[in-house]
Amino acid sequence: MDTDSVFDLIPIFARASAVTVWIATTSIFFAFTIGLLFSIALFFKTPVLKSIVHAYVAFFRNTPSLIQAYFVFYGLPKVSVQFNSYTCSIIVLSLIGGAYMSKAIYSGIKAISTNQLEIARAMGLSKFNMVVHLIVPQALSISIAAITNNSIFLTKEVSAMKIILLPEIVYQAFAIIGLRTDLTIPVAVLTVASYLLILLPMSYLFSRLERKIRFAEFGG
Amino acid sequence: MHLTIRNLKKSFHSNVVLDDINLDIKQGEVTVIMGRSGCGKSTLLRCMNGLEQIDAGEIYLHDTLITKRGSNDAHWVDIRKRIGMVSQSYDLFPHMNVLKNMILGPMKVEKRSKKEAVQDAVRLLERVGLSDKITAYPRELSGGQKQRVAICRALCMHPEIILFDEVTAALDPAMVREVLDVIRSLQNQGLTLIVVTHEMEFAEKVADQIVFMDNGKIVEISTPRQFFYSPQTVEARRFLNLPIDDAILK
Repeated sequence: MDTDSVFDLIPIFARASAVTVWIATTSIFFAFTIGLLFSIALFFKTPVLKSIVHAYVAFFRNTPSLIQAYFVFYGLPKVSVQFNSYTCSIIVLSLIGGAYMSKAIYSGIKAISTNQLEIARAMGLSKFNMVVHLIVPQALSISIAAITNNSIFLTKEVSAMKIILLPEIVYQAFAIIGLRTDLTIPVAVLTVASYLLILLPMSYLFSRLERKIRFAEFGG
Repeated sequence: MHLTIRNLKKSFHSNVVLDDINLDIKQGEVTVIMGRSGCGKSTLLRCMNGLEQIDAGEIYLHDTLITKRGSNDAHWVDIRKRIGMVSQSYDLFPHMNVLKNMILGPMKVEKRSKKEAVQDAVRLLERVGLSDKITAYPRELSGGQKQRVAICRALCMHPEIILFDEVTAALDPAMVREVLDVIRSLQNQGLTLIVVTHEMEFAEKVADQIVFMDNGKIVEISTPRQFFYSPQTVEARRFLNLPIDDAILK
């Protein structure tokens, strides 16, 4: 590597950070969508779907992301399904995140009083209207803290995708150190700085969102 | 007859909750259902709007059978538009202000325009003295205010019948009064009211008929005067703490 000063490392980390942010936000979006749909399926005890969701959550929460990525990236081509490392990362992280989000949002739904949903039924509201106007808004505001945690977790989990050669922050850091051991300390500092630059604003945005949609004293 | 119940039976597993219930409710009248906790009063109400499925018997709204076997949700939605319900725990939607709580049903279930629903809500809130709370959230209201909003929310749907399920049970005495006054104001407006309550004074003053239940059965149907001053059954006399006459015991 033709790097003479520490400052030459900065563009590399900027590009790697952009990759991390792009993969993370896309995965958070899909994970959230999966979580929302699956938690509603769990709530309504949709017969077959319910078992599928349970099996899915059990699998993705209880196996390392590294291995999941490895299987999708190196395993699926054996059956002629091939993705590049970007697509593959998004698929794996969305599925892991979806499992976590399902549980988080489901616990939010469960916290809504059953009396309230019963009176909605007594009013003649359809299931669809109950989901849109009562269940989703309340479940999200109850579980926003857990959703925030999962989002931060997923962003850090992007680093596991170095195993499938995604040029994200940790991948680049290891690559540089592999060539230039004398740069270990500056690389470590830049790695930490990159994560803080991504995650601190993200945490701030989520806490803003949390304050905005949170309404105090549930059911009071 | 506005609502007719014939030979209704309902069990939860092996526990018989309603046993051969027969009841006639006239249009525009106030029926008060009384009895000990767990006697089946609330379950009976919940059968009337399909929140509970009955095991046997029939319920007719006017002359239409509403408890057909295997009726789907759409069928009950039509019935629930006509039979409103107010419950003990108010169950206002906590993330919506008072106005939104009230217009959700009219807009989504009855498909009325927002303008019309809002006008209706404003008028009803005025009537119960809560005009200034229109943009308040449920957490900002007292129990009595919440319950009055809950009643208005039911009225917004223009029901023919309203079921009140122990609506004052969670309130302190001052609030009980403000809520009961609202219910009383609904009398003589053509609305049929079915009220499960422990408020004796209210029952005596407002009811057209008192239905007394014990252990899943209706044991006495009478006028308030008769029920409170000369109840005919031992169960009712026990409930009212009246001396049990040997003559009644036979």
